[in-house]
Amino acid sequence: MRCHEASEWMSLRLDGLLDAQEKRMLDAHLGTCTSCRAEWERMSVACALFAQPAMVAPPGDMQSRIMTRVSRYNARVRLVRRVLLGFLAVLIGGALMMAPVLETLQHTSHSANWLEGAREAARVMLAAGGTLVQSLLLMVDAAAFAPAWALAGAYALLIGGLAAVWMRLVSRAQRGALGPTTAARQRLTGRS
Amino acid sequence: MGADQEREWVLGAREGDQECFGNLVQAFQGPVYNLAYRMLGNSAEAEDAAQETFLRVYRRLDSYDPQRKLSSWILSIASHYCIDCLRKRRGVMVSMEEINSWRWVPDDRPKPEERVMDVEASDAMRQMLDGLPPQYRLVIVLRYWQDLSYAEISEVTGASISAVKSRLHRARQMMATQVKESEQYQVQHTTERRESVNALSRSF
Repeated sequence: MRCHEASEWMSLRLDGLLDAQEKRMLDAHLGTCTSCRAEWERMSVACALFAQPAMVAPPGDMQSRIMTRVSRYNARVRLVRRVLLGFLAVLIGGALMMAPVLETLQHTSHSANWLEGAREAARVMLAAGGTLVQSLLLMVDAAAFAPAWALAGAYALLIGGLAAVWMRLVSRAQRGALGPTTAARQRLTGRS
Repeated sequence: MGADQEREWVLGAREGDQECFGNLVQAFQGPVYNLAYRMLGNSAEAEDAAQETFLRVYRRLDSYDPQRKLSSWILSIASHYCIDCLRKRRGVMVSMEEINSWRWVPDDRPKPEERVMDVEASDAMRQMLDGLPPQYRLVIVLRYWQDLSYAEISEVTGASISAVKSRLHRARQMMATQVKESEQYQVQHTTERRESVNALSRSF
């Protein structure tokens, strides 16, 4: 038996993982090798310190402090979710409101300078949108698709993308594993 | 504490039931606190680590795999946190060279919270643990304080069983070296003292 192997076996022996024959083999080596015997004695001395490890009791109010932190975390998650949903609502609402505003701007006669500016901006935006649609149609033509189908597809893609972004944002806020129904339940229990 | 009971707590806590999570904390705060206490060496940091561990457990409840033993999962979160703390404390990542050149230095600082019954033995025990690099300290603590088998230690640490085996072996070798050094230190110390006493008696 090599000394390195013997050293590994010492560790196994301290964990009670050697059978009777292996123990005899190790003992035989320890009987002939003084440096291994010294190592074995020191290892045993060191590990004897842990034979009956002292357990310490956690502070009595630790659990309540943990629970306080958990509910603070829940409150933060709820807040973030509410802010995100609110922001999205404002965004979508704003986008929907832009359409009639732009429409009106197109038809009103220029009465003030700021209105002129806004009209210009709207025109640019519409032009940009038009270019986008045109390039889309060009691509569609190039691919020899029926334009109506392609438009529907592009629209579905856009909606899908928006939905994915939205899901990502909301699921990030919900990383604490709380569905909306659970959150509602928590609000109720929190109040009671 | 059955596995069914644990599953119930986890499911309840996932649904946002605070009482379920409270039961879970109650059941595992002892093991987690003891692990942190032995890894970090003082009660203040141990409590911080235990709190942080349970907060992480709460945040990650969704990713818990019910096939896994709950205690192993919680202890692995605690272990990772403690190892990170120890690494930050040292300010640098521990490289293999550092592990090999790690040596025990006698530590004479007073440790008030340890003044229980067996001061001498627990001081020796603490010095022994303090002298081990984090990964090696972890396997010793899991082996002795949590009384885990090699397979369970492997589940907690994420290392293979053979890696656990060799880490325990290396840790014990390091501790044997510490015992050797303290023997030499004592021998040197008593010789020095004897010499100074002799010198003193000669001078009279």
